[in-house]
Amino acid sequence: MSAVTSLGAVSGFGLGVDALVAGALEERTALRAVRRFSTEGLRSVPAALVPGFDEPRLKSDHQGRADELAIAFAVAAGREALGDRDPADIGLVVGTNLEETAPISVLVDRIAAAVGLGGPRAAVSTACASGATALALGSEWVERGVCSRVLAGGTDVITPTVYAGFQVLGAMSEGPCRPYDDRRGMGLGDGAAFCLLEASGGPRILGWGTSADGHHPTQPAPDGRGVQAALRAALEHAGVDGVDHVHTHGTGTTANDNAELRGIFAALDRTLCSSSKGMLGHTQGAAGALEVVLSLALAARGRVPGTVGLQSPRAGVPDEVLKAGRSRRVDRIASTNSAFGGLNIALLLGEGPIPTRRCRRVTEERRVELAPDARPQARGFDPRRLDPSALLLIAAVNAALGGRPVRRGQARRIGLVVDQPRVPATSLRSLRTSIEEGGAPGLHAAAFANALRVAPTGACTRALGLRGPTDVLCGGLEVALAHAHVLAEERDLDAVVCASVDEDLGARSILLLSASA
Amino acid sequence: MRAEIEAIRFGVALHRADHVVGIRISGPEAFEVVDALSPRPLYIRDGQMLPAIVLNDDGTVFADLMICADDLDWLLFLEGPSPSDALARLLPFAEGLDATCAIEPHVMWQLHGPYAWECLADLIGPEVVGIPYLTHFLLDPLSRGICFRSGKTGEFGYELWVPPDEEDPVLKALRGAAGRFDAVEVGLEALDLCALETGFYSIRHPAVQGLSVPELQLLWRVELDRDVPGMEAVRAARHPAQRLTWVRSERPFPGGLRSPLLEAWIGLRLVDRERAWPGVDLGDAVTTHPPLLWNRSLHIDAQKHSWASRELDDLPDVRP
Amino acid sequence: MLGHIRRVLVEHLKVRVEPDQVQPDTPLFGTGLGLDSVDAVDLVVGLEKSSGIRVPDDARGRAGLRTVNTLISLMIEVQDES
Repeated sequence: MSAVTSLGAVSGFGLGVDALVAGALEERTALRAVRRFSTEGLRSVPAALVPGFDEPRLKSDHQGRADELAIAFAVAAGREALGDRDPADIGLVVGTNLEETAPISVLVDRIAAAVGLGGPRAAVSTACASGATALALGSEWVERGVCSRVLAGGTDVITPTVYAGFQVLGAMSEGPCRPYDDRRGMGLGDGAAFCLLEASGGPRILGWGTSADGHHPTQPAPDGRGVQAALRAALEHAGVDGVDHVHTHGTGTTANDNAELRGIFAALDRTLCSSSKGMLGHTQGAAGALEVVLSLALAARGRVPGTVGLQSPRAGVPDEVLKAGRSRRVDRIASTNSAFGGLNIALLLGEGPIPTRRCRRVTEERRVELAPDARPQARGFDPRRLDPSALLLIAAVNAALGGRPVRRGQARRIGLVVDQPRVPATSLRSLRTSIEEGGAPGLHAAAFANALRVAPTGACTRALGLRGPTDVLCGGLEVALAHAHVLAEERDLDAVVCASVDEDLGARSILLLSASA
Repeated sequence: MRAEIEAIRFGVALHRADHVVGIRISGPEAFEVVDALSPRPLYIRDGQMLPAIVLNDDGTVFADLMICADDLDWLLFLEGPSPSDALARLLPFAEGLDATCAIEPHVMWQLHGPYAWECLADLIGPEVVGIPYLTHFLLDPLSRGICFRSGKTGEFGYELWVPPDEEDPVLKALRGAAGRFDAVEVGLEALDLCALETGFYSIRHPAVQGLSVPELQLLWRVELDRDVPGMEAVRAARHPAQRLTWVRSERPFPGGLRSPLLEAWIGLRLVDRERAWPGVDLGDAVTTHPPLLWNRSLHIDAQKHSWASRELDDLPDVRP
Repeated sequence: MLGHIRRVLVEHLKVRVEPDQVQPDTPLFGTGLGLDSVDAVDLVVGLEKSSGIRVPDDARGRAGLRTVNTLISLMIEVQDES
């Protein structure tokens, strides 16, 4: 548990938390025509790109430009959150979904250098959940004394590839994004947001929970079971049983919205909720962090946000899904995100009794090392359509589990923490080739879905039937293993597998067993 | 028969599936048993279903098979053989392996129709709506049994697999829920006609008897390099001179069945490969391809449509 | 036309059957070849690249994606219309 003492944001409304809050209070949308790159060959769908960076320099081959923007956004938001404080001992956790040109650690180092942060640092990449995952890890670092203050959040940039990918997948709307509305479809956005986390001095991150759907590479489980599990885990971790408002993932797609509500209302009774994606767009790796910053900034003003863009709710969407924001006392909020790959996260923030954490006994049972060409025995999944990274990870995790199949009753009781610094190379190559050959409309959808750091982990949860807490970090095996230890100690699990995959070097995995002390 | 077809195609139909044999394989080597008998790889996990077949040694079909993964057990549903013949055929695969292979004495009640999901949701809760095709879930707390979502009519189809001592209360609850949908209890003949209209294989159809897997267009249910009994014969028959094709006529023809909704006679016929394409005149019938009609269920959006609003929902005609 | 479809299915989508195992009335989605929504996208894109014919993204298009035969019928219709 940590306290959020300061906020910083860059969004479609511009630089600064004030711009973000002003937009939200006025119920405006930042979605507008895309000017930063050419949308030739695609439908021109509005996106909430950070203004002021619209020079038409970003083409598909200018991925390097995207890195520059991601760093710029993060530095601006980070500096705002930092304020006048001395950055020397402050740590950094950055969530992002960016494809790589340079290694992700370089991105993190450059952000740290620009802001002057001297503490420990790591990146996380759980696709659409990255921003929230960063906050969770940052909070854990403060709580565990890894460092006393952490700047945690996310940053992301909408590139022509991402824009094309979602459109080709049929996820994007015809016009502006309208979460929970009869008019379906998502809109994209960019930006960054950071929270300064320390031991006390602000609303607290009381707890958090993650889960894996184990369902599909891009579609969430229709019964919302993953969202339900993540929320339940978060409530349990925080030691509370309700919140005043849920900031949902609410992308506006047919697949997400109803499934997500099912999961949310199964974990919480009908609670007020809203989605900000009709306002800010889906900001990918920044989403979880930007949404938390928005929630906290509004809560401080006694407000909960509405769902900009929602006019005619779909069947099955109750009145608790707010169209307009409203004033009310907000003591405690939840923020949820659901990612490609089927990972879900829920953060619990605000006021509450200081949660007691479990302290279970954790023992390391097994360590496995596999060569890069190691392949799993295919049981329960088809290996022929999986990326080599995914196969290597499945082999490593399966070996850590002793090669024994996971029983239904165990599925939620095994955690998985994966260190995955690189985007799966084969899928990335296939994706880039398809765009080179066919332009944006010729994008290979399966490659787009698989060219994410989270994708092998998602495939692994589906292949092995794992549905417990699941995270993807990019800071090296030791950082992942430390996080795995915390999960094994604090959560009611039987085991946690920690695995690290590198297509060139091979894989390592460790099985941690958890028992009551 | 017309009333039965209409219930299946437009409403809710119930059927006690006495023709289905359920065999449970359990134990530490249950996977190995099923892997030895399955003509296709077992790429499914707990909660998922895999359509397959049990081959005769000569490459023809012994049974229509649905393989279901129930945690670490395997539940196999066979259509075609009697329970004792089905068990006798499968038991040898368990020899020498640490697994039990036994008939599961449950009862199967099926629901079919564009509003079958709604009826089932009334019975067990709204989570039903999100269950994907070819998956299953536990009926707890209604029953110790399992609900499978499959169906071979092209409409929503669910199978309730229930222990015999629970049949009475479950059926009572089911009939209670089904009441408001004017549900009709239908026979196998109606279901098989709907399967024929939609393109699903039925082992009972006279025209399929004795045909090889390739002739039946069931190659998708096997993988030719798997060495299960009968596969060598399937490989040998791989490029058949004839293929089973759907045919249709405005007048009756031998082997044809009357479809009340299409107001035509439809059937299956083994046709020379060069002519086994849609639109060929065979004299007494013309070749065609499934689906022969539009399944209403494909237009149903559980969030928007309901039995109560069916008149107003402006759903398209089933006839193409 | 059958050739285009089989080629896209096996080479582009990496469906795990031999091309001649893709029989004309084999279902493509759900059951049969078991393709999913992401595959549907790649199938349409791949077919357009291979044959020049674009399967429309509407109810008619979705109905046409049911089997190889329905796909052929639809593609011929679309070709005739243009």
